[in-house]
Amino acid sequence: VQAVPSAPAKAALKLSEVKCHVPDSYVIARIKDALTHDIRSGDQEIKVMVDGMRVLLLGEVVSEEHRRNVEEVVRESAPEYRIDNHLKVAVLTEPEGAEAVR
Amino acid sequence: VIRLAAVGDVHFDRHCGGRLSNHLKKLQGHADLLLIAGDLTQVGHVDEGKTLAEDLLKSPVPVVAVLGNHDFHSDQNLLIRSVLEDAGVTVLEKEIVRFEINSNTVGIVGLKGFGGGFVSACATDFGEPEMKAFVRTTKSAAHFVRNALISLDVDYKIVLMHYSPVPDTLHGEHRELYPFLGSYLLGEAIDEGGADFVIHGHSHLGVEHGQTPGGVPVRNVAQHVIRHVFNIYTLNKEGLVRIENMVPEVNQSRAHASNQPN
Repeated sequence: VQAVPSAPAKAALKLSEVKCHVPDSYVIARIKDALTHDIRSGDQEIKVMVDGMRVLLLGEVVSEEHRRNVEEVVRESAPEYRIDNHLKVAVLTEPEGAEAVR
Repeated sequence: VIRLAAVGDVHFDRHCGGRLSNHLKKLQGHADLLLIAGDLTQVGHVDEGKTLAEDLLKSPVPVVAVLGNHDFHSDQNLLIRSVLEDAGVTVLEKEIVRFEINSNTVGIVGLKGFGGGFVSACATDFGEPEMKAFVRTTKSAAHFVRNALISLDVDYKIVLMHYSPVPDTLHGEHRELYPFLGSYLLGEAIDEGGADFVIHGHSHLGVEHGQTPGGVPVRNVAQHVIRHVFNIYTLNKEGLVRIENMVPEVNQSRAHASNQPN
């Protein structure tokens, strides 16, 4: 059996660095769970991505207030992460015609 | 001809006032009814229902709605129903409403519906009581749909529900979620009971167009899908083919006398 070379000794990790090692999937799940259950958001449609210590929020919401509420809930559920809020308020248009159903 | 405006999943919160009402005047002269396919609110709070009710007061045509899963989240579904009814909205949960439009009789069968999945990948009422309760909820909904459609004696039979009766309109969703988005039992009941048109919502990532295995047109009108404040559908009896001739013999005997192919 060939011995595996030992890694060079490292300085003790800072807390913020330890948090980096939480798998992104768990961070996303934690945020999405908060967005679903928090009464300020109650939203299951927001696309959440994690890139390093950055959380990206993508998708559409119904109002500017809802957009702010979502960001607030995410900030509270993942306070150590920076939030890039790319949520857009959906603009509704009227249909141009009718579909004749066959 | 009847003209149905339809939308679902409007997900009103307290700050959405005016989001619909600013467009409702468009219905005048273009639609006979406005159908709303559930998820009227974001978290099922009565204040959200009040905001929507105030918007719908401005509708120039009758409004018929069903509740969706979001409308149950805060256990205020009955209050939401009440404030909507106070605003003149007809709210259906396993109920029927009839209209006369341009000398045509129209029956709307309305309910939330439920999940369970679709053929070859669906839940069954087997095993734990929780699983049995889940599937039996859908079976009960399907039982209502079948009997309601059979009992209706109208020119046009419309089904309005929140959950999907077909997988067609779910394309774009994760397949793992299908059992939580609808059930083939609802589609089967529609085909057996006989309907002209089905409206549903719930699937934000799905597509608008689909049909039951028996050929009944189905439209997913979730606002995220149609991208409009509502869509308008016209139904002409001459262009519709009822599916009673495809109903198994055992069910044909129960079919109402008015359910003849056009």
